[in-house]
Amino acid sequence: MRLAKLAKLAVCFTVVGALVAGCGGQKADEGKKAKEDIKIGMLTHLNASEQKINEILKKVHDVPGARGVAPHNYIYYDKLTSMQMGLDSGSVQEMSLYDSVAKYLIDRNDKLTITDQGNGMKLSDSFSCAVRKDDTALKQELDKAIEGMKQDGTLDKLVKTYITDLKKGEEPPEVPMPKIDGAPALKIAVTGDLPPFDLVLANGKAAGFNTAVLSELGKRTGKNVEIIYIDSAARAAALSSKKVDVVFWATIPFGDSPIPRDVDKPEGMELTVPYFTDKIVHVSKKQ
Amino acid sequence: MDTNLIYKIFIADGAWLTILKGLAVTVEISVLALFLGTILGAVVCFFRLKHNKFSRLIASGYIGLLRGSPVLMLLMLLYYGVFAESNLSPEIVAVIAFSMHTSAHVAEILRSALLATDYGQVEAARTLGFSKYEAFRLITLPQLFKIARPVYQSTIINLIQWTSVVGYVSITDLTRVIYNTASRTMQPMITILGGMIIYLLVSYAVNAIFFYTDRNGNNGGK
Repeated sequence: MRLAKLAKLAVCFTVVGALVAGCGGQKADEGKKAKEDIKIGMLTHLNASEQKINEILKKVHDVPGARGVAPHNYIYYDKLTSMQMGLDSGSVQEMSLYDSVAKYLIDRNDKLTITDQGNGMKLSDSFSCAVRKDDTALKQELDKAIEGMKQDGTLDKLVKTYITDLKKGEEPPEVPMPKIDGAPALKIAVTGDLPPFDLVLANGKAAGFNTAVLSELGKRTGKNVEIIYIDSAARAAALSSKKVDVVFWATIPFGDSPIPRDVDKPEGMELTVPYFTDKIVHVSKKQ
Repeated sequence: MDTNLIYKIFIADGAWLTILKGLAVTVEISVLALFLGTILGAVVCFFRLKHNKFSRLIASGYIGLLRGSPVLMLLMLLYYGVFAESNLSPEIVAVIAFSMHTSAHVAEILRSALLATDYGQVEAARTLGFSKYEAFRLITLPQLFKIARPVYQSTIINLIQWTSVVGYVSITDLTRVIYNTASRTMQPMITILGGMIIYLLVSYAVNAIFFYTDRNGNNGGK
């Protein structure tokens, strides 16, 4: 009977092992595929439907100089982790990501490389804080504080510490969270799903550029930042039910972009002025 | 596989402690929900088997609703809807949601086990002078435990896995820790495999508890 049990366990582990080995092994004829045929992974937008995004992407790819990727070739993932697994298993050949995220990823996973610098697409998103629509006082406070951080160079310093100065393979630094006695709380949602902007360190503490910006904003507006760890898909629900006050949101900047800025903005939500802009690049496995 | 990588993902910089904390949260929610869910399930089962038509209707409605809907939606509704204004911690709301969900399953397990016992034995006991309560405690209950045991065991293992959605209500459980780690290290395959093994070990621990506490000797080994 014991032997039978052992045998069962052995079979289990062999199956798991085979699965893992199989996942790394699908490299067949990727190179031969025409550029137009590749599938591209993209993080799901919370509110704009896939159909709507596809329509918009069609416009993007109609711009002269852009790569001709058919809109139906996008596959949507709700987590960076699942998208990366999609890339590993060959469901998609490229991932559409922010430049900083792509660099962070490549520094920690040397099987990947940036294939498209995004020069053809000329797409970039900006990062803002999102607050409830009726929270106008908070929005004004945050707007003012962000402008102040831009002017005195604090923002550039934070970009340097938490994004550009990260060493290859090293843990990003912790974010100091000053406590002000008796100050009101500012609850921010951290998903841990988009390093180096939003991540949870090995010791379980929230870190990343977004968190650092919010910590500084809390200091400037005289509030105690309280971190709520939450799954990225539940951000909007948490915000509207007042479980959190601020979530991080990425939007397309104003200007000559073919994508409307508020395409993904949920009802009842207001965005602050952007504090960072990042271009979109494509990441793929090394050939 | 690269041992250095495994060390970096699961051990380095206190990562192991974070994973253990996540595991503790998963176990804590599961144990509390199991305890409360079992009690509540017994109560629901009692009403389900009453001769009163109204109480039967309510109980079967409760069971049908909870067994027929995803527990994540119940959890989201409770946390962001029903208890949004209250100051209940997310852990308490999660325990409430999973207790409710478990109770529906436990009620059905108990009902089917009760129906499987032979009512003639209770009647025989009653003619021999046992009181109603004694007949239940001495005749029905031991058989009930024996019949319900295997299904109850698999419900516990299911419950542990159901709790993996608590990340939606801002609880950092084992699943969330694993996802956070996967994002931070950018090595999702190995990390998620590691998480799977931890869940597997927990399931085995539950099975082991059932195996070694079985006094009847029918522990599947035959």
